[in-house]
Amino acid sequence: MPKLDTILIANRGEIALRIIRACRELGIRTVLVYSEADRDSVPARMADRAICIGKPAARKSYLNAQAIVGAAVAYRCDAIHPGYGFLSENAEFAALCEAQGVIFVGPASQTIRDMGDKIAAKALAKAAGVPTTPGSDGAITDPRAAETLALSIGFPILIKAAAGGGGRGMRIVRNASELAPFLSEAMSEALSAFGDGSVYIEKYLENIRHVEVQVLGDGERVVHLGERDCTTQRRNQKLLEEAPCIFIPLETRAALGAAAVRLCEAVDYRSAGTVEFIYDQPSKAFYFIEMNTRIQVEHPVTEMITGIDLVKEQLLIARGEKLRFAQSDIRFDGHAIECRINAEDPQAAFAPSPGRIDRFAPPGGPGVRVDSHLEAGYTIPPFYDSMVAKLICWGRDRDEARHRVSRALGELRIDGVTTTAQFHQALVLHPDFVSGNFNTRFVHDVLGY
Amino acid sequence: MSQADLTQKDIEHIIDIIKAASDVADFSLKYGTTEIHISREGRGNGASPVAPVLAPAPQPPSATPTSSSPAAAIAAPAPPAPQSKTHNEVSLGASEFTVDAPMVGTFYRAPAPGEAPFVDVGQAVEADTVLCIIEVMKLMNSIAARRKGRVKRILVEDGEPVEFGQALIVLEADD
Repeated sequence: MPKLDTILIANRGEIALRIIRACRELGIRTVLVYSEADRDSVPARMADRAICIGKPAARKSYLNAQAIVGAAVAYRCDAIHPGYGFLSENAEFAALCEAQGVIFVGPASQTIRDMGDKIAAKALAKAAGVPTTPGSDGAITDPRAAETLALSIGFPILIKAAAGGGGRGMRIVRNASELAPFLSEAMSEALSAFGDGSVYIEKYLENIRHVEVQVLGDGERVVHLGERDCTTQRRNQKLLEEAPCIFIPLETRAALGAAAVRLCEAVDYRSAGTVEFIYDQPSKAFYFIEMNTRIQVEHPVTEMITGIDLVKEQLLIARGEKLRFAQSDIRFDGHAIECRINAEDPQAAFAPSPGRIDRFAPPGGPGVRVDSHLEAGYTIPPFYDSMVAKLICWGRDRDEARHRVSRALGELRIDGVTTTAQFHQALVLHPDFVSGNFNTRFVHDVLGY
Repeated sequence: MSQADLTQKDIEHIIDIIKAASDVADFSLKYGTTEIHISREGRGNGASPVAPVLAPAPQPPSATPTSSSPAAAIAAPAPPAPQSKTHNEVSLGASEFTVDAPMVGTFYRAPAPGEAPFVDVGQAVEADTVLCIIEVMKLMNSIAARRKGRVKRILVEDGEPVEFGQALIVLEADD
């Protein structure tokens, strides 16, 4: 088995701390690389060794693959944990680790490459018998072919320019009579805007939940650890996640888990990963969107209901160990909710609010977990993302978890910067959130953000 | 009443004594503004059983975390440089300046093993004189003085890893 005594952590903030904690419990020595902006940070102090690798700008530090792998070699680290974001889903970075004989804590670089290409990933999913959003699997240039396809999918459909973005050449078609005029409009708009009139067509789904399945694979065997409901989003940014998703029928949830395992088995998936789906509430059907080949921000909700330390399992798998459990060993207990506390001002369109923390008092008590790198006197640097804490609450059921979140948010004190804590308080008390009667547009349409 | 502080030499002497005493598991000393904490509770991967952590005593109002931090308690020394977690400030004379590492990597004083070092202490250098190299994954980066001067001190041992911004060599302006 490969040696994994010393690990380099190529990240910052709460996830760096999270990885340090898992390593410490496993007796793995930690070397944290940090930018000049993070010199005085809790993770830099907690790591067994902290090494400055560059200037504050991410591309000079946390995105500088050469510097990070170079540091791992110079400081004799056996492995690199990339955390999430930054280089965690960069196939070239993983390949550079492989070439330098440094273990990349994650899947093989080829898996990252395959899953990172949306069209290739969709094809892999289809081949593995995983449902994908109905639509053209490539660009369509012939209006007649487009019409035939649209009619076979059923309305509403979405037409979008194959070559572009930004809403140009995009149309939502709600019935057959709109199809011909909207199609020709979209095609000519695409042609004039991008010099290419071809379009994609897919089923337009409005009343959806965002559901994802946590998987663990050792390169041979794959198990799933249930689903997470990440429907509470704003502009595709997740704000709150929970597990399990009790608003989807049990048999559908079992099918989601099985589909995720099939896809991962097809690619001999290694490490922790997440398979993302959309769940169409009217038709009760689910479709694969993409796979995230890394640990995710919201992994703690799964940890809370399964009792499995996902980061630790990642490290054991990276060390060459086989999965320690079969699917039937995975037990689910209770409900967990995570709030992403960001240094943002919800009253100012969630504008970032960096600054100095005058006081940080995390909540406590039963069923409460706070993953955060904050401390009083810490200054949130303006260079990176604005998440400053994750509040995760467990309860025997969703209601208990929800009340715990509300209680814990009441205890939480973060003075000095504006945060989204108040927004979360309003969210978990909202009648639609309580009843489960919401979709991905809830924060925008109902709460008005 | 102000007590005299311990010198670096004093501290090293204390650490040597504790290192030699095999029956001491934990040692703490507070003297003036200096606090020493030595623990053998590390995972002991064979490199060295002792992890000395030196930190200034908390000075109100900005308390510096010391022996109470978990990192201090179980910090096992790195295979290379075990002295501290991050590089130290270098005290400089009036006309002295440092040449810092522009990248993280491995420091070499000579172009190849067994060859003469690029420079030695006391040697006068031009702005374009190469002082050392930093190797990053077999890529050799020559580090030039960038300013005329005379080599006063070489702060890093040959073959040691260095971090971004770490002071490598002290030069004295030659004007």
